[in-house]
Amino acid sequence: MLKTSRLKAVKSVLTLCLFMLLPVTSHANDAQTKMKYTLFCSGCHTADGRGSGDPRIPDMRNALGYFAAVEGGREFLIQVPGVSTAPIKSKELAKIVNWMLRTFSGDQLPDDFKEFDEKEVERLRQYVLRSELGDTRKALVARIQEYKKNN
Amino acid sequence: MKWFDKFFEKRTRNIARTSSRRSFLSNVGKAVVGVSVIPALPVAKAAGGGASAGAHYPGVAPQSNDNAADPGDPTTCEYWRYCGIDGFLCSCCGGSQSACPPGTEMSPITWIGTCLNPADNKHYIISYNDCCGKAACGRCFCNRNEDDTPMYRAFTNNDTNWCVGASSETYVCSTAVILGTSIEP
Repeated sequence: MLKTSRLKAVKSVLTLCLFMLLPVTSHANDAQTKMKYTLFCSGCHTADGRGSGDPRIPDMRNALGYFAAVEGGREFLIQVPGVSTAPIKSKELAKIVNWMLRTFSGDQLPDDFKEFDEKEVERLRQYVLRSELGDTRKALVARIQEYKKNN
Repeated sequence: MKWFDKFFEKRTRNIARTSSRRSFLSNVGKAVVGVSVIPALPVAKAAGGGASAGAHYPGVAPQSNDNAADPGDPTTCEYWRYCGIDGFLCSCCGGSQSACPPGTEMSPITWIGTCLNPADNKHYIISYNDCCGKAACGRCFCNRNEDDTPMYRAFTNNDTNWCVGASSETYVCSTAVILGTSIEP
């Protein structure tokens, strides 16, 4: 009887420890993801995602999340050359894109937004938008305008 | 002057007898190619003096740095933050390792790398922001290129003129600003 209660106590303490550890590890993960964004992306997109003022490097703040809400936008987020050709493994890339969406444009994300995972990023990045980049973006921006009117 | 004429006549006839015009042309060709290739040979440019050799650029006074956490002289190419730099050091141009000279504008876009700080043996994220303005500084050229990638990977290429994001596209000099420490995975 005593043994089982002790075992239970140990178990609950361990569970508690695990729960306490969770925010710490996720915080560390976020710091690492932010570090990778700084290293691989912020040179052009700047630390807070505001871009350079040049239309080729647009402001991502309060805008990026809309791309995840319209048809074709999810693919676009991964297939833009800066993302798909980045020298980063797909698992890390998924974390960076998720972090960017949450950090720069969390309020614009749709309610049913599903985070990117390694598999999806690996599949999508096989195709890189090159010559059709501008047209694809234009079409998506039009779709976003429509989306904003209805939501 | 007769001996002079005779000497050259003899030499010319001798050359004409012993060599063909074709071989003469091929030798001239070899000489032209050879001379043009010599400057392209991989020689140790660092040994040639200047900022990259650790010597001071003429007319630039050494800058003492009392901060033990940031060791070295920012007017020399050996300064630890310059491990990936390619350009004129702003520390020699009226600015500093992290600030542009007066009258110039820091480019908002830049290329970013990491350098090892010998003081604490940690890697730091360094942003090599270009300063842009009227004319290139021309002092303390330093080219170290760690982590530099070829032109087709423009985002991490330091030959790119990052002044494209500033109001003036004329490059003046480069800074090396610390953005944070690099966390190992």
